[in-house]
Parts: sequence; C-alpha cells; structure tokens
Amino acid sequence: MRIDCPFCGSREIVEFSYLGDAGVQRPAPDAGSVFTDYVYLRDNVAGRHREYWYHGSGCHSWLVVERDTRSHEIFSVDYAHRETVR
Amino acid sequence: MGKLAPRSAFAGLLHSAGPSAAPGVLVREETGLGLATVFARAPYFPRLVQSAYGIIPPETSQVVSNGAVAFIGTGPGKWLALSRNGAAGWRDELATALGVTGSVIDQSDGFGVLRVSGEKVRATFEKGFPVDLHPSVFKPRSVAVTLVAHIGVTLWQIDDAPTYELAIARSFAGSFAHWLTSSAAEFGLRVEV
Amino acid sequence: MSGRRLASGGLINRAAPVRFAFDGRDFAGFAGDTVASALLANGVGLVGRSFKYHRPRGVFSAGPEEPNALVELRNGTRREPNTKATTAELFAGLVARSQNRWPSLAFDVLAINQLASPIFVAGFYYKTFMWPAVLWEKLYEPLIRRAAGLGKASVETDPDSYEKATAFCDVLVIGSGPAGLMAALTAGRAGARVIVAEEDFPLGGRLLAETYEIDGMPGAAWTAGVEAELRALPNVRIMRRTVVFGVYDGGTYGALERVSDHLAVPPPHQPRQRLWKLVAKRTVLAAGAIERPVVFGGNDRPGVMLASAVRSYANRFGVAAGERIAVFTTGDDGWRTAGDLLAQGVTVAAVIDPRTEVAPAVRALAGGAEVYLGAMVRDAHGAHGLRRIDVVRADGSSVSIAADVLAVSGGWNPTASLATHHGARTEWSDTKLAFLPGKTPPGLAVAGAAAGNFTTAEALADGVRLGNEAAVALGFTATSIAAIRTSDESFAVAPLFHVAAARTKAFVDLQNDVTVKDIALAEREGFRSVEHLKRYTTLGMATDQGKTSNVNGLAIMAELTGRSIPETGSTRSRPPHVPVAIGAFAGLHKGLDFKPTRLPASHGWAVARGAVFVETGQWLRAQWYPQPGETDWLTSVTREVKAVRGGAGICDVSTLGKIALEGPDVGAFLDRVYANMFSTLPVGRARYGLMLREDGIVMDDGTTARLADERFVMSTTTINAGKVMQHLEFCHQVLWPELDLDMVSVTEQWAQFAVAGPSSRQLLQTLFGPGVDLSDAAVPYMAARELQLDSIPARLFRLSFSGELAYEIAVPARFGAALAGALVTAGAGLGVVPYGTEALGVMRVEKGHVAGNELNGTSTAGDLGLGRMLSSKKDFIGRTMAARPGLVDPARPALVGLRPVDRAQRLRAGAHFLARDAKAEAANDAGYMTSVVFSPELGHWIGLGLLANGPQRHGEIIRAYDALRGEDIAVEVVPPVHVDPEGVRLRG
Repeated sequence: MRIDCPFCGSREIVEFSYLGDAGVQRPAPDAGSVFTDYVYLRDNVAGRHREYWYHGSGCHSWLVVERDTRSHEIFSVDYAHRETVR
Repeated sequence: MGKLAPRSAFAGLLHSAGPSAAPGVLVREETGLGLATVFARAPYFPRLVQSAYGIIPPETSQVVSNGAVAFIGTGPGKWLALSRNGAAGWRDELATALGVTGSVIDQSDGFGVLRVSGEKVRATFEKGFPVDLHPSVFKPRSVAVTLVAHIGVTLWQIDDAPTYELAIARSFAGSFAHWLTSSAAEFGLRVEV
Repeated sequence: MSGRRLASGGLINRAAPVRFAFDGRDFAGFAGDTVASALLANGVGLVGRSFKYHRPRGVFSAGPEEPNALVELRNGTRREPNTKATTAELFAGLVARSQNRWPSLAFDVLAINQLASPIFVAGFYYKTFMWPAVLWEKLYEPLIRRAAGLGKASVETDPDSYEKATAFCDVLVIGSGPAGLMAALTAGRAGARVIVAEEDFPLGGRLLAETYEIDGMPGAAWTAGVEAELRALPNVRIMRRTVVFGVYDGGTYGALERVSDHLAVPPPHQPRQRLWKLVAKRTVLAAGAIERPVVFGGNDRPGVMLASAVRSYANRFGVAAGERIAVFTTGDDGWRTAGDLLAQGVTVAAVIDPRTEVAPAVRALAGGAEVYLGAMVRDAHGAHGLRRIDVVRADGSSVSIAADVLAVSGGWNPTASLATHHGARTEWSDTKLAFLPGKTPPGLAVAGAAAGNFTTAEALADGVRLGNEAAVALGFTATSIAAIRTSDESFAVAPLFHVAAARTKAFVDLQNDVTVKDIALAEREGFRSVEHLKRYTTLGMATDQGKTSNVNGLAIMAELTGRSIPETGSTRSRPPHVPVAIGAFAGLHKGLDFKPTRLPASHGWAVARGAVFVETGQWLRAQWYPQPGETDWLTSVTREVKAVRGGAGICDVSTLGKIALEGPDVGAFLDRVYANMFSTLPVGRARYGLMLREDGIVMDDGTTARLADERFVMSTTTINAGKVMQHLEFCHQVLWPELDLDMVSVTEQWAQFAVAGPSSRQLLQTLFGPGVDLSDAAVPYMAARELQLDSIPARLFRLSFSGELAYEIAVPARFGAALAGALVTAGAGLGVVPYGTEALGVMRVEKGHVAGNELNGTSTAGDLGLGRMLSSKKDFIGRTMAARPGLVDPARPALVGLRPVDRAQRLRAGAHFLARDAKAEAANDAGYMTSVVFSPELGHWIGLGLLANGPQRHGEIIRAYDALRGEDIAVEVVPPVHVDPEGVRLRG
C-alpha cells in the first residue's frame, strides 16, 4: 500500500504507523463510561473508513486517510490537525 | 582538563570499495556544519528568515540555500536549518534572529552529513531509497525524508550532476555506511576527504 | 527417447560450446542452451523421479511451468534444489543432479511406492497418519520425508549476497513477446518511462520458439530490431532474467532479478539475486500463455511433452526431442509442431486429433505423416522412456504406434495469474476454452495471449492499443505504429481434457503425482469445492503451482459433478507467482545486518576497554567491563557496583530517549500527558514523570527538566523513545492542536553519562574546574543546569538511579567519546570505574526502582507503588480509565521486594508466587518475580515482583515456583527498596 502524504508525496506503507478510527473524539474527563467506548469500542468497517496514520519515518505528521478496508483504495489523505480544526 | 576532542559521525566508518579505476560513486563526510531543527510559530517567521539570510524557507519538501545557509523542508512548518559556517553558535544565532516566531533546537551533533555524487549514484540509491529519484521527478532542491535499509535519512539534491547530501542520525552512521558500501561496491566507491 | 542436436538452426551460439555435468557425467551444450535443452541434445530423456511414486520422469515443457525436470544445481554451499532445468541457463562447469532417487536415477528402490499406491491416494496424509499422534514426530514424518518430497537444500550458509531495490515507472510491461514488445514500444515512443520485465534471458517470448514471420523477418530478427529501438530510448529500461511474481497495493509489483544465477559464481560485489519493488502508474501484463496437456494413461512417461515445448526445442535450441515424434493435439496449434519438425527433417510418427475434421491448411502441416482424425491417445508405454502409444479411434478400434516422443496439445491457458492477484478472478470462456482475466487489479491491463488473444497479429495489436492507452492515460500523446505484417495463425481447439478410456495411471498433476482416480476419490468423499480439491489431493501445489494441471483438474471435477467449468470455479492465485528464495526477501538484512545497529558516541571507547555489549532495541550498550582475571559476569558486575557505591562510576545513558519541547504551552501540555504535575516545575529543576496510556496502564517513565521558561527536555526509556514521540505528536497534532509548542527528538544530539557514587561531585569538580560551583546548594538534588565545559555547551542534571549521590552530564555527541575518557581521567584518584547496564540494573533493583520488567504493559501506577503520583488537580491521559474498579483493586499484583529465606539460594526472574501451602497450579498464581539481581551490598540475591495484595504482605513467607527450571523456594516479602530506604545517600 502507498499513502500520498500531503507533505512528502507518495510513500510506502512501511514509513507509516496505523492507529485506527479517526471518527472517535476524546471525551471530557468526567464523561464516565463514554470513555470506555472511546478507548475500546470500534466498528470493524468493511468499506470506506477514515483512520489515523502517522508518517513517523517521514515528516512526523498525523494524517487522516480515507481508505476502503477491502480493496485498500485510498480516497483522501489530509493532515489530522486540519481535520480537527474543521 | 585538556580540550575535549570532537569526533565526526562517520569518522573511521567510510571505506572505498569495489573497482577503483573509475569509481561510479564518490562520498565525502561534510563536517563542520551547523544544524538545527526549526519550527515556525508565527506568521512573520519567513520574513525574519529572509531579513537574516535573504532566503524564504520553502513550505514544501524543498531546500532553499543562499550558499552558506540552507533551509531544508522536513515537515509542515519544520525545517532542518543548515549552516556551512560551523556548529558553534549556530543555534543561538538562529534563535536570536527568529525570536518568538520560531523554535530552534540544536542538532549539529544529531546527524552525520554525507555528500554523494558520481555517475552511478542513482543506481546505488535505487538499492535503498524507496522514493523516485528520476531527474524528471526529483531535482536539484528536492528533499525527501525517508527510510533506507530501515535507517531514517533526510536527502536533498544539490545539483544536476547529480550531487546529493544526506543527513543520517549519528547512531546509525555505521549501519548506513555498511549499506552504502555494499550497494555502491559493484560500481566502485571512492571516499574523498 | 533419444534427442539430438539438429545440424543447423536455433538461437544457440554453436561457436561457444559449454561443458557441464549431470549426475556425474560430462556433457557439452552451447551458449544459449538451458539445462533441459542441453540434456535433450545429448539424448538424456530421464531426468528425475516423481514425488510420491518415484516414477521416471523427463523434460515436459520448455519454460517456468515445468513440473518434472527439477534438478539440484551446483555443489556444496551453493547447492540449490528444485531448479527447473527448463529455465536454468547453461554455464561452463555447471553441475546438476537428478532428485528424489536412490541409489540411482535408473534404478530407484522407492519406485516400489508404486506398488503401494493404494495408500498414496488423495488425502493419504490425513488417512494414514492419523493415529496414534505420538508416532508423528518419530515415525510418520521422517518416513514421509524420505519417501516423498523433492530436492534437498544445502544446510550450509549461503555464501552469496542478495539485494533489494525499488524502481519507479509510468508503464510496467510484464513480458516481452509480441504484445509486450509493442506495448513497450508505443508507450516508450510516446515518452512514458517504461520498464520491461522479462523472465527469460533473451527478449521475444514465443517469437523465439516459432517460425512465424513478422514484417517479413523471422520472429527473433524482428525482436532484435524492436529491442534495439527500445534500448536507444532513454526512458525505457529493459530488465532481463526478471520475473514479476506479485501484484500489491498502490501499483507496486514484486519482481525477482536473477542477477548471477546464469554464472557459476556471482562476479565481485554483485548479488546472486535482486528483489525489486516496481512501482508503476500503469501496467501491461503480456505474460503469454502456457500450453495445456491432455490427460491419458501413462502420460507421465519421459518423452511425453507439451507440443509447444517440442517446437521450442526444435526452433529455439536446434534440438530434436526425439527420433520419431508423434503429435496428439485437440487444436490447430499442435499441428504446427508436426510442420516445424518436418521442416527440420525430423520424423513425425503420426498426428492424432480427436476432431473429425480439420481445415485443409492445417492438415497440410502434417505433410506425409500418418494422420488419425477422430482419435485419441489412450495410453503411453515405455518404462524409462516412451516406446509406443495406443491410439483409440471413434469406433473403439485401436492401433499401437511406435514413438519416442509424444507432443501433446490441449489448447492454451493464458498466464493471467498476476491479473487475479488483488482479489480478482478469472472467467471461463467457452469459445477460447480458457480462463481469461476478468476484473483486473487497478491500473493493470492484459494484452495478447495472456488475455486469450493467441494469434501473433492479435498480440501485436493488443500491445499497440494498451501501450497507447497507458501512455494517454498518463498525459502522453499516442503514437501511431504502421501496420505490421504477420501471419494470422489459427487457434481453433476442441474441448478434451482427459481420455476416459485410459487403462493405466493417468496423471493430472505430474509434480504432485495426482491422478484422475485421486480426483474421483476426492469427489466421492465430498471434497468437491476447488479449494478443497487442491488441499485434499495437493493438485496444483508446490513449485509449479499447477501451471500445467489446474485447468485439467477442474475440468475433470466438473465432469464428475455434472457441472460446467465456470460452476466448478477456479482456485485463487496468490503471490508469489513463482517461488522466490527467502534470501532475496532478506536482502542485505541477515546475520549482524538483520536490523540496523545504533551505537552511542562512546562505543569505540567502550570497545577499547573490553566491554561486553548487549542489544537494547537497536542499540548496543556496554553490559559490563571485564577486568583481567575476571572470568564470569557476576564477578565483573559485583565489582562495578561496589566501586560505584564506594567511590564513583560512569555509565553511558545516551540511549535514553530525549525530546526537546519548546513553546509557551509546554507546561500545560506536559500536565496532560504526564500523570503528575509539570507546569509548576521551576526553571533549573527536573522531575520524575509517569506517563499513562489512555486505558490507564503505565506507558513510560522518565525525568523532564525545565531548562528555561519555555524550554524543556524530556527523557524516556531507551525502548519506548519512538513510541513516546509518536504518542506526544498524536496528543499535540490530533488532540490539542491549539497548544503552542514544538517538539523534536534530540536523542542523537547529546551524549549523556551517569556519574554516580559518593565521589561523583568531586569527580565533576575536577572535570569542570574550580570556576563552577557544584555544591549541594548550587546544584541540589533534581537540579538541571546548562553550563560550559571548556567552552562546549553542556548540561548537568542531579539525578540518581543508583540511590547514590549522582549526576548526569550531557555534551554534544561529537565530544561523547572524549568526555568518557575525560571523566575517567578526572576520577583517576577516586577509584572511578566505567559500569554497564548490568550494574545499573543491580543498583536500581537494590533501590526498588521500576524499569521495563515492571512496566510490562499491564501494570498500573498503583501496581508499581506510584499511585500517589496521579494528580487529582487536572485531566491527563489515562486518568479516567485508571480509576476503573478493576485497576484499583487492592488484590491486583503490586510491587514488592523479595529475598530468599535461605540467603544462599538464587532467585529466578519469571518464577511465580504461591502461598506456602498452595498447590502449584494456575488458579493459585499470585503474581511473578519481575527482576532479580545479586546484591553486593546485602551479599545475597534480591528481587522485585508483582504480588497480589503485595504491599500488605511484607514479612510473609511465600514460594517462588519456577516450573521451567524445576525450582520451588521459600522467599520473604519485603518492601521494594532493599538498600538505603531512607534515601540518605542520594542527597549526599
């Protein structure tokens, strides 16, 4: 798999680390059991999935990659902080 | 106490290999460089760099140089700032020039820098660099931060010869030298001083 | 079977004879031969024994699909089993041996397996060797391995090197037959960057093996012209001897270049093989097709060959495979073998075709040879080589024909397996009688015979069209190619996969000895799915992956189950398409180069002092420094610990992660990533910090110092440095991008040494000279200072891991080696020693400090006795989850110290804790010993461990049970701090 890093360009997957679902939001500290969902509960998506990837062997950017988990087709890549600000 | 003697990252690690008559790859360690990781923290950061050094730091993976000082784009809002005037005082000079608009962290000892050139340099780099170095894609001023034989490397192209410079984290210098020697040996590797 | 070299013709270099040996006999071939063509030219028909039944086998094909002619190549350390004789290039001095025979190829004792064939039927492993299980290792497996199997690998270290490389292109062309050459030429002329990968050693594909003319030239001559133009184009790269074996995501292709396989020994500095990642924007797959045999009785006899292979040997290698060659074909293409052989003056015994009619032009190819239409070959006979065939006519009458070679053609199977990687499937075509590529991997198009377009004209046209399509898709302008004159040969073919009337053993898969009966048995036993059929019978497995057997196997299963071939389905093809040596995947990364090694600046200095090293992640660290006369590690380590506690020692701690953090919000950021408070840390001070994961478990620990108001430096453990950096960048970039700070690793920038022991201040005072005030008031415990050492910027931290008065001093790494020497010089009168990670570990266990053994990914701050560090005044990563009932349960295993009741006994890390009277079983497990050391201070072994309700059990006697070593000893639970519990020394 290759990921088109917005800073570095197209790079091999070995340069990246995977974190998972980019749809989760860290809850407020007093949110209680919602925190359990945040830490543990993930959908196992077959299809389009927005997920965090880290370009640790390149520019050190955290990215949000939209990917088809079945075909590895990649639809979009953007900086995670830009997604957060949005 | 006597003065502490410095030792460069690649000291004693580079050895010529393979055919010596017409070596396809030439390598030389660039010592006496000042290096610093610089982050932009305010909008007028580029203007302060420009007023100090006459160059504008590139916003993409490019290197811009005035001959003595170069800003090598290594990430969004992040550069490896290189001075050919030596390590001493480089971090402080930059920090003074940039004030609160940038963070400056000394890395003059964090990397060893190699200058590599020769007719077979691309053929050699193909054996490690997972990025496209074809002249239509990677040109003078292009920069790549990547992995070579599991070793982090920052590569930038100096000229069309082609000549490249590479920054390798100091602790990996021995392993990187081994990769370079093994990969260039079939073309002939000559170490220049 | 008695092959011979033809008087003329072929693409071999008759001026360059090449000597080689097979099974100890010397032979001669020519440059341009393969081992198979050279053996056939020398009349060698028997080249190996089969997998299960040890039946004699000969050369079957002329390419990578070969199931039979597998040989051991080379001797000694370079011996390589299962090499296909049909693709191995001949070189001077080549040594090859037949496989799977004993004592000799002609007389093989285990051929008796044939008589036992009832037990070697489909699924025989599963049926025969089921019970009792204890016999597997001792009896069944060794038996099977001796009786069945292929060649033997050299058990010695491979003396050759391997490389890995990456190349990029616009258009990758796989194969260099007519379709591949035209695709490359059109895309290349359009200006695209093209890579042509050809598995064979010359370009040309089938053009080298056929007698067709293109543009009035023989195929080889036309190929040479195209190759010359391709070589002249700077944007085209030709990679010969390079097989593409897999399609991966993102336009990445795996390929193996056999750099030196055609040479006796690789040239200096050249690898044996090179593994390529080819990254292509578009790909044209032009891998051609493989001829399909027909299954009949005795069809494995040496001399039964693919008709196209017989043609290859005649036309490309100038070899007649036999003296009397019969042809059995179900289509027009097979007749060309007869035509080409007759043209070379070889006797054609007969042409047999099950069709009752063939076109006159096709019929004419047989010349004066006997022709049997509406007939089939039922059985082939001849023990070590074909002698005669039984032909059965439509009316049931049969005739026996003498022949030493039978050329068989059942149609063509497109080599489309690469087009089915990436989850795609092939589709059956009733008109082409072949599986054709359907949906293909992204960016890949299939041209020529690989797409079922078998004629030369179709292949050329496909190549032009797809070469242009790829170029245009990438923004290049299409080029027009003048029409190419070529023959429009016929590929009409009738469906015939096996001859049901066969009276002798009929082999579907020659490599795995799978017969028609095996498939019938699988069907009767319910293994009807093609994937089950494959695993149950082993059809299509091993080195050839069923390239000549899969479709026939499916067709037979279809017939047995009354389904059509598409209903029966096909097995999924996965990378690698051909076997790839593990060495090629490893490349440079073997032995000590398995992974890169990181060396601290003082490494050479430590080597010079005789240090013993230990791997810590990628780092090599000095473990201890043996002195003359010290023969065991414990003596050295004990001496080092005593020297530190009695005077001073230095230890390189540069490998710990160091992260610079700068900006106005660093304090706020650290408050969120550390469990304890950092925004209140004064400038010039350091603080121990504990970092949790979001699930409440401890992630890492270390000290962070505030060098200036907005400038901090954090230390991490050596192992977790990268992980912590990644975590911090996640927190900054994703969770709290609004915080104004920057961070970067400075692990490599600073060489850092611990200077520990009661004399450490005095040592540093000597180093810095009297101008620097190092008094306790000026540099108190946990102080962090930036200062100058001989006008070099230095950092001094008053930190202690040993419990002694101790410091850490850092200088820019170029001065690291010199500083190590200077520290020893400065401590010369103080009994200073360098100490390694073992002594460091002894002292930290003596002090009850937790490290990697305790931060094991399951321990909480409370478990480690650090619960009070969790701040209640702020949010931080892990806070909420750390409060879960299960993580604060007092019964959780928590940190304690351990001592053997009998002080002479040794403790063992990993031993499990049991109550004194508890039975040694999992239900009674109360935790385990995490770290053990011999304490020079106390004169006996001590340990740390995680014990259920541990802190409440100080003084209790429990057992440390080590089932692996068979030890079960009584230990006393004590507080974790074994030495100087009041901490008097470190404030010295």
